[in-house]
Amino acid sequence: MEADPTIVVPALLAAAGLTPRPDELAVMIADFPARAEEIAKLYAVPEARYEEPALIFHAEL
Amino acid sequence: MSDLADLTATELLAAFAAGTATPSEAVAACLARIEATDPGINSVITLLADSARTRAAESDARWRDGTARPLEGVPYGLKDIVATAGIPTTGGSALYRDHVPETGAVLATRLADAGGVLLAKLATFEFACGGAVNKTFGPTRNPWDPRRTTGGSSSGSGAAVALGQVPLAIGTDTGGSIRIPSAFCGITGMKATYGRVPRHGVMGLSWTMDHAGPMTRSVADAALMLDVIAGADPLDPTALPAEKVPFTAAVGQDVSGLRVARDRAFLEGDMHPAVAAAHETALGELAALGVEIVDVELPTFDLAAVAGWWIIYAEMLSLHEDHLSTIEDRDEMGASLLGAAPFVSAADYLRALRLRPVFQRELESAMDGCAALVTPGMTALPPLIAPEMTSDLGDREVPWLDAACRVSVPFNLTGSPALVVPSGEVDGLPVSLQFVGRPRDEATLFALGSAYQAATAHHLRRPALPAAA
Amino acid sequence: MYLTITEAAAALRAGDTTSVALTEAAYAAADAHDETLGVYLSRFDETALAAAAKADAELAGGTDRGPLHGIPLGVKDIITTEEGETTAQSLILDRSWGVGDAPVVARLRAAGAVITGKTTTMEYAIGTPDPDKPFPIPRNPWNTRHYPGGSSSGTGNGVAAGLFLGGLGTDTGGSIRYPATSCGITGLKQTFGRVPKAGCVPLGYSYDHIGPMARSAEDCAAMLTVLAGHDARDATSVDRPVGDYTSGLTGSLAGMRIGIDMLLDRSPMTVPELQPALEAAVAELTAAGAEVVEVRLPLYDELTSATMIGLAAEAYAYHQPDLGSRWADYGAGTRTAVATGALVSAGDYVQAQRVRRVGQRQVAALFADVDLILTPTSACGAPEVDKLTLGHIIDALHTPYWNALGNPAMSVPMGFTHDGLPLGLQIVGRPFDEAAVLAAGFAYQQSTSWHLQVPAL
Repeated sequence: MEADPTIVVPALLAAAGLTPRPDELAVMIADFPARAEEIAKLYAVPEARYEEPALIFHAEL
Repeated sequence: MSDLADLTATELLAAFAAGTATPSEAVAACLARIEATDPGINSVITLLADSARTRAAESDARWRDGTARPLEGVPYGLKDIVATAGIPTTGGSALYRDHVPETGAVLATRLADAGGVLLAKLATFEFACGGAVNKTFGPTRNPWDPRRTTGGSSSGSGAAVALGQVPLAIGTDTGGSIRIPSAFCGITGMKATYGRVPRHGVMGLSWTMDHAGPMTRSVADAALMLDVIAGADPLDPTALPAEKVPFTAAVGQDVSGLRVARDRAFLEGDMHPAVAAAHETALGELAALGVEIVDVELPTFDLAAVAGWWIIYAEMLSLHEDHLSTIEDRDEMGASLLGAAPFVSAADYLRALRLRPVFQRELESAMDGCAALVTPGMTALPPLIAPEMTSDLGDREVPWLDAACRVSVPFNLTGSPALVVPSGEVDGLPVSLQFVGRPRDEATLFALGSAYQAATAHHLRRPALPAAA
Repeated sequence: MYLTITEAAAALRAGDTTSVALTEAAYAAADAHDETLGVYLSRFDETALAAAAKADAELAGGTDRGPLHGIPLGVKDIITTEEGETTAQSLILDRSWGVGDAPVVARLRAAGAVITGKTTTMEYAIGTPDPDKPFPIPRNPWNTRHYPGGSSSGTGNGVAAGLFLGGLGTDTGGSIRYPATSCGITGLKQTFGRVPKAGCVPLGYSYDHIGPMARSAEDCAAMLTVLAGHDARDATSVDRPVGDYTSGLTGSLAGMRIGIDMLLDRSPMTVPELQPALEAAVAELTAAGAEVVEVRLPLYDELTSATMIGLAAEAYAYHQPDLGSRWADYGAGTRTAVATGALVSAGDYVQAQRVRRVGQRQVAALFADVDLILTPTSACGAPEVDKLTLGHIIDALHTPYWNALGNPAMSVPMGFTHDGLPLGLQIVGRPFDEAAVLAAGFAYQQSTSWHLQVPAL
């Protein structure tokens, strides 16, 4: 999924109600593709296909 | 003699033990029922007639030899997201049409090892999250009115049990998918405590919300089946250890003097007036058993449904990420759910997870001094089958999932056991009660449900079978 | 000033010093250097000296609370204490949050420790210093133009500069081990769940650890013995018996099999001094009786990402109520680091949690063959404060991998760069096998003196 960081990052920040300064926004936009690549690598771990997340829920408190 | 397809598992086992019927005869009766009813209803995805006959013959021998096991010779069906070794497991999806697992789900193995005879893999909404109109396998129709939905996602299990195609079926429940079709089809359904039934080998939708469990025609059968499938599983870190006392021991226990809570504000809010009136009648029947019904408040439970969906979306997206590229092949609702999921942020998901103990505590304190909570099993009648279904609340139509999940998804979030039982009819369609218990206290629900079924006949009412049969 | 807790404890019992003298010496060091180093956010002189006097009276009266009795310790200012207010070095944190001693602080006090004050941190334990905010900028005692590492900066440089003998840090992606390697001290992030975190401002709920920082592994063992153990107020606290962290400190590693992954190609910032320092450390451990073999850590980039992405999301979930409305009140480094959590989808977060499980299985398989794993803590010495970016810090560090997994991981000093900045060796054990980690660190420190080097101030 190729998403344009100059669209996605401001949109996600706006959706979250965050208003960074222009220089901060520029850094976050510049850093976004590397982060997206990292996330893509997480989905590319074959053993994770049927793995449970490290989140355990108990019905009893 | 009555048709064996109409007997419950408990009744079949008694007949096998008495020698008045055999597993082979029961399997033949169920196969005949499937043949007569399935063309108009479409609950079966894969029929296993030959292997079932072979297994039944083995069960015949075991009853003769005195080596019968707890479910010896009882036919059952599995929702087709439960993996079966060497038998297709489609997930209700074109993407898995030819998928044949090498190993079976833990619960499938337990049912087989207990002597059950697998008769069919049953219809499901795609991956347990699609819509009522399954594009690959077609919709499953409600046996009480084929224009209407069975609800889902355990659609085939609901219809098959109601019709007598099988006395027992397995459903799964992430936001209500055992209880909604059980309620809509007029059968008994049990979503036990989170972790009670091992999920290994069941296609996941949401790790922390998924539950598998029995769909049956009586509370006694649900307890019987849960005893077989419950218990610790080294492959599932969330699985609970077995209880010392079997659930069947709770069936028939005295419930007079028990206090049961009701929440009028949220769990009984926004109901169709006729369904609400039927619910009051059913509560009157419950009170007649000597049960004291007291009002409690669950002030933030309206948020529980929202939080529940956040969690489902997030976990579903991680699981199905590699299907996103084929999203156009998916059923409308599954696709739209998946399409919505990326817009749930990690922070929303974490907020929902953090709210979870808040709802657990709220329920715990509301139930203080009460043995269980009682709610309607459904807030509206089953909607007419359509790509975008709506539920009729009398004065307005709402998206059907909003109406259906209102009383169900909060208890996926809390992990509480919840049992639905038929409690009457409105316009010829079944309506239901839901009993919700404390974590690990399925026994109280079985006691309440079986007492209710001993005093009423709602669960014995069956849909009309096609005249051609 | 004595260098280690162990040494000071012996001197106290020999009558060579008193807790009051130790505490006064600690404050004298603070008077001299705190201005330059940025160690303290608040000092508790009055209560600390009273506690020291009480400790002395108890010892004199025959009541001995163990190795921490009368020892001055600092506490990172995201952990609550009875005295003062907890600030998280932030204008944001509600000062009414966190009343009384956190369980870890209560345990230290019950063991007789003297809490000297609250130490500097990166705001909310994440980010880089913001000179526009009214808080000290911590500096490295080995070279004050350089950063002391973070986020447990004040505990790290305070121990190195002798402002106290040990203290508490917290570690979500490396915030104990990074200042430890940067300042030339020993810091232990023990197994996730081993030490309770109630009373500590969260950063990443499923990655956070509180742990000991001191000059030596032996001192960390003494502190961990006090800190470890279940407390139901922390939902992630694990209820299992506390190990014996000191009896294994024999100096011998006979029979121990240790894997090493030098990770030299894993960072663009690896300095040439790193490999010889690691080889020398291997020689020392071999001489102590261990067999050292090369291993390759699986899913290195993926697990590092699983920590960084997961902690950003968890941090953002915590900060969401204030981050939008009080953006400018947050430090510049903190707000942008936390805001990246808003860019993480729920599905991506869950996927990171699934990769953690895969990693746990694969690393457990590696630990079937070895008892410990060694890596460098960082690829290089601490950067200059003026050139600091979060990206560079993360590029250099080999710590976040272990926060995704939860294994105990300790940084011990193992030499210096050519320009005199400390380097650290990271020693990692099986879950809940802190004893082996500490035993190896102790054996290494028996034959080396890197941990006893003191910066000239």
